[in-house]
Amino acid sequence: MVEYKNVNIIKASFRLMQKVGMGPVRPGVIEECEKFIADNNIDFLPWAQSCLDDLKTVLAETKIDGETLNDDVRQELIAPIMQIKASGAMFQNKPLTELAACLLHFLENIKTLDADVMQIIKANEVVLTAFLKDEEHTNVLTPTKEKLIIELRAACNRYGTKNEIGSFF
Amino acid sequence: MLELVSGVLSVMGVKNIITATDGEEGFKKFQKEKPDIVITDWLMEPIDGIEMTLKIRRDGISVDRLTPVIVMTGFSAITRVAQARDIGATEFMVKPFTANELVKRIQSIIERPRDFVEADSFFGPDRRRRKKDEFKGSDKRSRRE
Repeated sequence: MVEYKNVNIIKASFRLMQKVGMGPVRPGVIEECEKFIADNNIDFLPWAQSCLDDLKTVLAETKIDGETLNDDVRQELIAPIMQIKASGAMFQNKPLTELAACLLHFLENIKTLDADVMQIIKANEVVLTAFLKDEEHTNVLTPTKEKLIIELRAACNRYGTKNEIGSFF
Repeated sequence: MLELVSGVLSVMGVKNIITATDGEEGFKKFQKEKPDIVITDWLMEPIDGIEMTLKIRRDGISVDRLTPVIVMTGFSAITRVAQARDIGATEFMVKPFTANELVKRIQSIIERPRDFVEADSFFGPDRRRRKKDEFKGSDKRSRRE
């Protein structure tokens, strides 16, 4: 156990409670907020496309050496995917979030950057691009999209098994 | 996302919402406006939300080192949660989020404020959950033989 010296405890302040009171929020307010999120018409697609373009640039510039994946490269690969995962479902594009979440989990847990990893990332990037272009069913997890996500997860799992990392999903 | 979060807060009834597009501008506005709660994204440039939270907590010029900070991010790995906790974030919220999750965190900050711990290598909300004394039933475990 780590032993800390010179520890000082500052007692919690109830200033905010004194300012705004306490108790449940006004009935209906959460529903109103959820409706605000669901009804927002912010055009998310150009921004998502720019994230995918960033990913493509990183992929093009990344050298495959089969060595341990260093934190800077990992971060560069992760950043655009994390942004898509974070935003997709909030801007009526749940399938994008679902697929990006899989790739994010994979990227956060791999140890090396080899040809197999690059293939998996590129396959995900192609499918993410296809999801983004499907403007007719942006928020619908169609059977085809679902099947693609399952296949990409399976590819991650096969990589994990082959490289003794274990299953990702 | 900034627009969306501001809008949700506004619908919630939050009166004075101050926005910034990165950690540098955020810290400047924090210093000037002294907000009740800070909500920050993790990834921003040139200064991200983690660095801004560190400045709020540890910079000698910070106007209020005890201000609650909610870190929002698409990261959900436990190492990320630990990283945010270690720099003194009060709450961690994974995106995409629901309005209910945001309301719960704000309520928690208001109604269950945490003590702060100041040590050589850490300054932030006490990570230990407070002991609950509400339970009035019989203590079955201590009577076990």
